[in-house]
Amino acid sequence: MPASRPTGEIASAVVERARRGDREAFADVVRHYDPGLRALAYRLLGDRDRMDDALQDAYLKAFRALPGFRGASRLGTWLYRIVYNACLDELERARRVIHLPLEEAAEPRDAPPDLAEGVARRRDLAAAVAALAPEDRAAVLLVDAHGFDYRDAGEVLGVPVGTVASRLSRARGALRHALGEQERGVSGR
Amino acid sequence: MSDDRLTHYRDDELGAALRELDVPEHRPGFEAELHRLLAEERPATGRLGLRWGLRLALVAGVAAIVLLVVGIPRTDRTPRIAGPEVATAAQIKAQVQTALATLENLSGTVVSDGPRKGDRQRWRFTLTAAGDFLLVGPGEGERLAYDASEGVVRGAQTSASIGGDTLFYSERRGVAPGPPDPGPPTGPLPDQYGAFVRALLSAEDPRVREVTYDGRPAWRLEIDVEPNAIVPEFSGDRLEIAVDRETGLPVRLLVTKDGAFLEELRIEGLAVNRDLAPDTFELKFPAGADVARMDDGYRRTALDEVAGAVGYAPLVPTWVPTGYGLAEVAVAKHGAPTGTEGGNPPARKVVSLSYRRGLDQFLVTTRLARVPSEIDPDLPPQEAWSDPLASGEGFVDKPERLTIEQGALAGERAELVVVPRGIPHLWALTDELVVTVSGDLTRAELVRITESLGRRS
Repeated sequence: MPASRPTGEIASAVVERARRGDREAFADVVRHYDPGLRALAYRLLGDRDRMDDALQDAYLKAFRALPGFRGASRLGTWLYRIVYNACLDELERARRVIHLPLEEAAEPRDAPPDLAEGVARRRDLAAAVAALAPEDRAAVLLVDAHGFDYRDAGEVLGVPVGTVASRLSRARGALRHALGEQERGVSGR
Repeated sequence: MSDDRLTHYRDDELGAALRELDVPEHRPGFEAELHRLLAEERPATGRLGLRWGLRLALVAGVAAIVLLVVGIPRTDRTPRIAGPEVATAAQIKAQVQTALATLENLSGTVVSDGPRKGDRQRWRFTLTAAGDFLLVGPGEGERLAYDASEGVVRGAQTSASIGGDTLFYSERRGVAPGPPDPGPPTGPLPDQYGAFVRALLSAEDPRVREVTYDGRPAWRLEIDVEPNAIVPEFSGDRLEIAVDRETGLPVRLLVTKDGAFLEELRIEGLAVNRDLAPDTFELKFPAGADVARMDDGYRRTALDEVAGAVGYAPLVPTWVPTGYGLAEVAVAKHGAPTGTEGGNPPARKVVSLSYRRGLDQFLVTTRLARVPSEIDPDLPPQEAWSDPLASGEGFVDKPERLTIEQGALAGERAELVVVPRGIPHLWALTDELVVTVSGDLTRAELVRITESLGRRS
């Protein structure tokens, strides 16, 4: 399933109930943000089980910390930051080369040209994303795919806005390069 | 490209392509597993902690209001403001400050209420100038006791999440004396009820009106405050404190939003400076009870032992406001991150000096500055650290920036924050240390204490 652009902030009444320890309200919060958080975690970790392990860890941390959430950032930003840190922890724990997923959809043998091009394009893009440093990967996913502004992305990543911009520049250059290579390959058939 | 364009540009085409990449659903059973893990969260560290946090904030807030009560008529040193003349806000505030400085202990019953049926709850409480406290209620058998000199909180509490009357027992040792480190749960939380009285003290010009409360003439002090931007519907925009004219006793705190009732606190059966039994703050667990034990790592010690414990000479004020004395010295090798949402680097080699005067408290803390951020280990200290006592967005602080002119911090830049919902404080980042001075202090006192800091080897 493709990642969707993240939705807006959840109703503040739900947040307040969750802050007060209401598990159902917290489950609502998780459901609201999960698609975007799942996309970020999967692209950072490259494996569904590791994604789920990191998300479970992050959601538990968020549940424990939510009573102390004082609104210093938007709740979504705060959750992304927790998930991002959980993913970094997971990467650190693994201390091994992560083989991030190429696009899992195999190219159909008899697929029409447009579909084949689309599949090949996604596969190459996924490979290019996987080749990025995790920090650059997270920056481009947050800003370009998830719609974060630079300031909020900086809060998630824990870096100044200028650092976000430089990471984006690196990531976009690499991904654009990959896309361009792939497009030339397709047109050359 | 201008800076503005540089920091706003989004590659929408690339973003759309990235969103087309597949993301798997969770593995089967993920949600059930998450629910199970959430259900296993121990009440003492999860839900119950929140519950007590709220309760204690209530009590702390009311205790602070109680100080208004006792401060006005009950000491010979305190001018009586009761009478036919209309007291000014300044007079009332002065009485509050006098009360804070002179009390030895107080006790009573606090009643909190909200707009919904079932919101009303009651606790019996006892607080002392040494920082000890005991809370009893609201449920049968529920108690919480704090021993400030030892830094130990013991509790017997029911679970908000599980429900029922079953008591859960907990013991939290090594508790920090107070902010910015996580102190005992009785401390007035900056964004909670305890801050309301600070709002009164820091308000430029609270309105004073003659009103009738419970059939008796009273003064009502009104303070406008900025509601939290994130959860505005749960955050008031006006605080009202009713003070009985005849006795000078504050008898009610009311929080409203757009004129609608949000919360009320009131006090019953107040007693001041009574004789307390030696075991007032002891909480003994039943034999065989399953006690959840935690340790925050802050050890009480003597001032002369601090340098040996943390590896640097502590910063100690050579001037404190009249009546204040050093009450607690604590050190910790490791502590929780401070700052908004705990965003600062981890606390390392913390020194916390707690000064008390009556029920007033202020703290001087130091911790190492050059500690790698957990977010980005490469961040330099000036980017990794932010205000350890920030109120948080939604309650936007506007710090006053100043240069310390004297003492061990001479020449260092500092930020000073005195806002209605936060703890008055000053903080500075040096090459070696993060320094905070915070508590029941005026702006001038914060600056003077900071400029008196000297190394004690």
